[in-house]
Amino acid sequence: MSKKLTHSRGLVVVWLIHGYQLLHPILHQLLITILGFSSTCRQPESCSNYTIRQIRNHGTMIGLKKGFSRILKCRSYATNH
Amino acid sequence: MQQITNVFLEILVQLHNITGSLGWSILAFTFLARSILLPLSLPSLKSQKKIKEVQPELKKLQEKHRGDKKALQVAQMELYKKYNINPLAGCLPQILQLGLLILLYHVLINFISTPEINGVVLNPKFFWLDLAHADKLYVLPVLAGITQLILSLMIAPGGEVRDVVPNDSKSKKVQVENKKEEDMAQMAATMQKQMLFVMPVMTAFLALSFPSGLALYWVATTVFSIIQQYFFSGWGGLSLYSKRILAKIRPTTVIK
Repeated sequence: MSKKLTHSRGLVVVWLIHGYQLLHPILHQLLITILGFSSTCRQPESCSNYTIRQIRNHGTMIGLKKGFSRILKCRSYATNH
Repeated sequence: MQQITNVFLEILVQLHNITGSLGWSILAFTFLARSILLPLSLPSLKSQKKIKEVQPELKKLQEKHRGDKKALQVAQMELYKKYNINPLAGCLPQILQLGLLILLYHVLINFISTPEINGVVLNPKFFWLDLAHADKLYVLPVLAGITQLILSLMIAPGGEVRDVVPNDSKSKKVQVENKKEEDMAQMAATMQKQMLFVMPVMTAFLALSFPSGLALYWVATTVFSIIQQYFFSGWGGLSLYSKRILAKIRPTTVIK
């Protein structure tokens, strides 16, 4: 279960991830315009949301580690996240 | 980095030698670069098309696996596998793409703003434009905005909400968490819808301040994207939005 974040470092990281989530549509559109394509995530839970959940559950460092590990593992039909 | 920039610059200079103008060399470079990138864009476009086709089946899966996120994820991946859809190119290619974008910007700015490269004097005149400076007649910024709007409408059919797990868990805490996730997805969808119109305006303003050579590249590459998109998924959201606008102008028109 997700917990409320009280640690300021965790809060900053979560807000940075939210910032990325807000800016991502601009990057996506920019890539399609200039290069003609951009990959889209179709997982029920995106890596950014997953990272936020892991930070809330396990703390900033472990959460970030789990998030990065998920991004690196992300490939076709991978389901073991 | 500098070596790659030099290679791109050399290609541009050679194109300038062939065409005799900075403008035509930028257009030829756009066509060349996008043609080289085409084999990378095609799988992504094919996947997008297939994902649209399997949407009804995805909805059925969501109904079937209500509240069970893990099972839904597995079933969804199985469905993609069945239809040979590879949507998970992931975020890593985007980082490479971003690098390429920065590199292109760097190369073009260098090419446009340098009057002479390797002893070759560049001719910045192109029709009414001086490509080293912003377009004073505002033609390119307007064109950049319009083409961006057309492309935005083509690739964003109706501003769909990203798939979310149905929020019918028995646990109140899980419900609260799911609600947060839905809100975020809703916000992303709203943002995507706003982007349809924000991006063209932003593009036009950027093109106003950029040297017109860069604006020319932007317009040319957007036109290439529009043609590419048209051949893969037709007019997409553009036909939907034009029907909506027509329905507003003529309320009696029946939308099929």
